[in-house]
Amino acid sequence: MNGCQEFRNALDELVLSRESAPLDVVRHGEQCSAAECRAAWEEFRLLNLAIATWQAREALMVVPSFQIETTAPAVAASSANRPLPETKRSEAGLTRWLALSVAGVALFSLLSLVGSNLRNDPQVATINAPTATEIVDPPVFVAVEETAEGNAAIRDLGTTYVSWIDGSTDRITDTVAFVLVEPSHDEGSTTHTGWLESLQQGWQPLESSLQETFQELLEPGSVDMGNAS
Amino acid sequence: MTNSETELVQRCLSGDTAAQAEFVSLFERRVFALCLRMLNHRQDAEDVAQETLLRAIRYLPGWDSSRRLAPWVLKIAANRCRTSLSRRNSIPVPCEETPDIEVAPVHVTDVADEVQRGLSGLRENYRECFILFYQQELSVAEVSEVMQIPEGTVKTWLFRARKEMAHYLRERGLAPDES
Repeated sequence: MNGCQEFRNALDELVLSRESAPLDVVRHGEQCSAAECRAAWEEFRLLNLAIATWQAREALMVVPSFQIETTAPAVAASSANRPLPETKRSEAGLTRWLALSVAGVALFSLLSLVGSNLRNDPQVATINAPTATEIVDPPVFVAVEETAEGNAAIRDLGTTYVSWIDGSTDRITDTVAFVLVEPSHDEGSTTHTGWLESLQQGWQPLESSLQETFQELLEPGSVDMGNAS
Repeated sequence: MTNSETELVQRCLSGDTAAQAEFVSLFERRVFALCLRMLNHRQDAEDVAQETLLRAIRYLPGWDSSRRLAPWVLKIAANRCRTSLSRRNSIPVPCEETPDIEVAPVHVTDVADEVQRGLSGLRENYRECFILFYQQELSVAEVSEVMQIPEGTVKTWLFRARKEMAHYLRERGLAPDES
């Protein structure tokens, strides 16, 4: 250690490197009479000891236990495209099939109920006289007045719809027949024609069902009256 | 960067919850200690440490595997602490001077308490620099990375923090022989 400036530079280096002071630095610090060197040496020793004590206590700091439940977006995003494990996949499939089954059963039950009502109820045109409540508090939705003219208008509308559906089914079957029965495929036309006949026959229940439905719509209350009777 | 760090990160990224728990246990002490010293408030430190660990795991895909993991995690912690401090500074509520940390009685010393008080009195950036260097034992280069300042500035702030700390300790009547 040649000079005071070198000594102070050495102290700075020791701070940054966290190394212990070598013997020549210690000797200069203890023996130098310069005020700056004495002050620097005293400060160095004071801070070394104080910080070491503080660090020792920091090491004993009680740290709470952190429970991180992570679904990190990056991880989650990548896993979103990853195929599910076999067990999860089977569970998902089971759930999907279960939902479909329930929906199917519900739909079937609804259709059966509507169908049985349409079949069992007598097709009697009945007009319920409006009650006092209906007169005082008309419903929010548009109520068609049940007059002879109104019923005739509804009947006409229903007839129009039925004829439109009827015509549509005819057009569909005609189109299919036109497409399938081509000259180049004459040999197969017999088979196609038979299939078309069965298709037309298949439309019949739907048509009749629709007609019944519109009939029911044209004559509201017939179900209630039928049940009441 | 070490192989074990890279391996741990890869396991975390693959969604391995055990690896994520390992990651948390690896860094929770350092993160919490940094937060506690920067914020000087245990509850805030717990909250910020929790948030830091969560964010660290979330942002692991962005970690540069050519660098050490610890400074990267501590950088997130320091950023969260700064955000928390800026929020706190906007609210005129005095913060707790003495953190309620539990220590073994044999290690409780006046000197450590005085250092802690001296630390609380330092400017925010000096304090952060001091904590990262002495408590987290990061190198100057790593402190520079965490604080996003040049290494020269780190050295300047560190020496100023030491000067102020020494001045405070002397004012409190401490001398090398007494400690």
